[in-house]
Amino acid sequence: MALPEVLIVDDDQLIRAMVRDALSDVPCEIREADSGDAALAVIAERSPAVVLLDLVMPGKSGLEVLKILKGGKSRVLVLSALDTEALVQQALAGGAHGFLSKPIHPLDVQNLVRGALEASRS
Amino acid sequence: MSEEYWLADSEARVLGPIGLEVITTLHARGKLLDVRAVSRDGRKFVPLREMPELQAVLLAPVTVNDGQRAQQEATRQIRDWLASIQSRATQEIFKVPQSASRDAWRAAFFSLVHRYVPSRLPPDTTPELRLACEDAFLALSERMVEIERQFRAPAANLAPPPPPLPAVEPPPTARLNHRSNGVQVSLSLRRGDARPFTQDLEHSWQTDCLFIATAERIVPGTPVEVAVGFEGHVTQLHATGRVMASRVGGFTVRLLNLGEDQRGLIRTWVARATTK
Repeated sequence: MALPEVLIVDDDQLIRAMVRDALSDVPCEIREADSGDAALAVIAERSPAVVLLDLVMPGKSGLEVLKILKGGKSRVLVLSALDTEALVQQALAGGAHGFLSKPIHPLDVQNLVRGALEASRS
Repeated sequence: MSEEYWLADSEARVLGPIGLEVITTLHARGKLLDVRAVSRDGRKFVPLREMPELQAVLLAPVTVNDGQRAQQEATRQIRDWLASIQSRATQEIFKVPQSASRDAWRAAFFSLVHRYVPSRLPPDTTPELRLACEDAFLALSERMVEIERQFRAPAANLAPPPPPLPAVEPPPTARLNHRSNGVQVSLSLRRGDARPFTQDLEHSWQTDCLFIATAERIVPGTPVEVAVGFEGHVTQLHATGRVMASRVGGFTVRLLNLGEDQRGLIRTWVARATTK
């Protein structure tokens, strides 16, 4: 059976590498995108189970990507250092299924993604 | 409905749409320090001065309560904590039993260290707080390196002491050139020496990592340009990366965007060195 796909969307390659490392024990296939537009192309083609989404990116911002994905199949988890309550609420109201503050903790990433993968199966 | 805005920084990274209230909160928390252009539709961006209502918010001074005073207090707390852990056992600091598994030690380490990772501090962090975080990060990393060593050699306490090792050459010393946007590293490897690619077992050539031996302390997250010369080879390795971890004796760089040719060069060099 094919593994579920997780898409990491962040313009910072180091963050993408850290998230990839954090998910090394999670049974999933990982894909990466470095901008909102690149993420939308991957999502249209692959329909990943989970999308880890940065908010501040070149081109389309994370909030714009979130708006396009709202109601879609992918569960979107926002990763951002902009963790004020108002923005977290806006992201959740905009369709995000979770919010994780940067700097990220590998176990938090793992737990959040495992939970999202579990939810996407049910 | 209240007006919404898009903000772009000097690297053309965009945040939006967000309302004035969210922008005000983010600014007060010191999280919007590099706004260069703004937009009302996410397509047409104009300089900040052309939207006076945003300029008024973004150029307002960050209040002392939200900014410097809080950072002074945080600096003091970290310094006190660093002083208090100097004479304490690692298990006491990490709050795990000595018999804990390697995963439990690592989980405890990550939960302690993540708030001090220097590369992830907000851009307005005061130099004093940044330095305190770097010291805390290094102090915890050094403790964790020691724990990892114990897991790598579990029988060391039971076995008879090994015979003295033959003298080994010191690791190749890199030349470092500090620039405004990072550090240039130049390294020459002698035939049969692959230690920079293998000596950090956690982050070796297999994960595109390279250990640079140096007495200098380089902050994790620092961009690095690397040039590695291989004795007997015309080809040099030129790559860019970021400092992943820093400890006494050097730092580990994760190389980014390595091509298959470059990986092949490293793989061949390591294979020849380890089978000599």
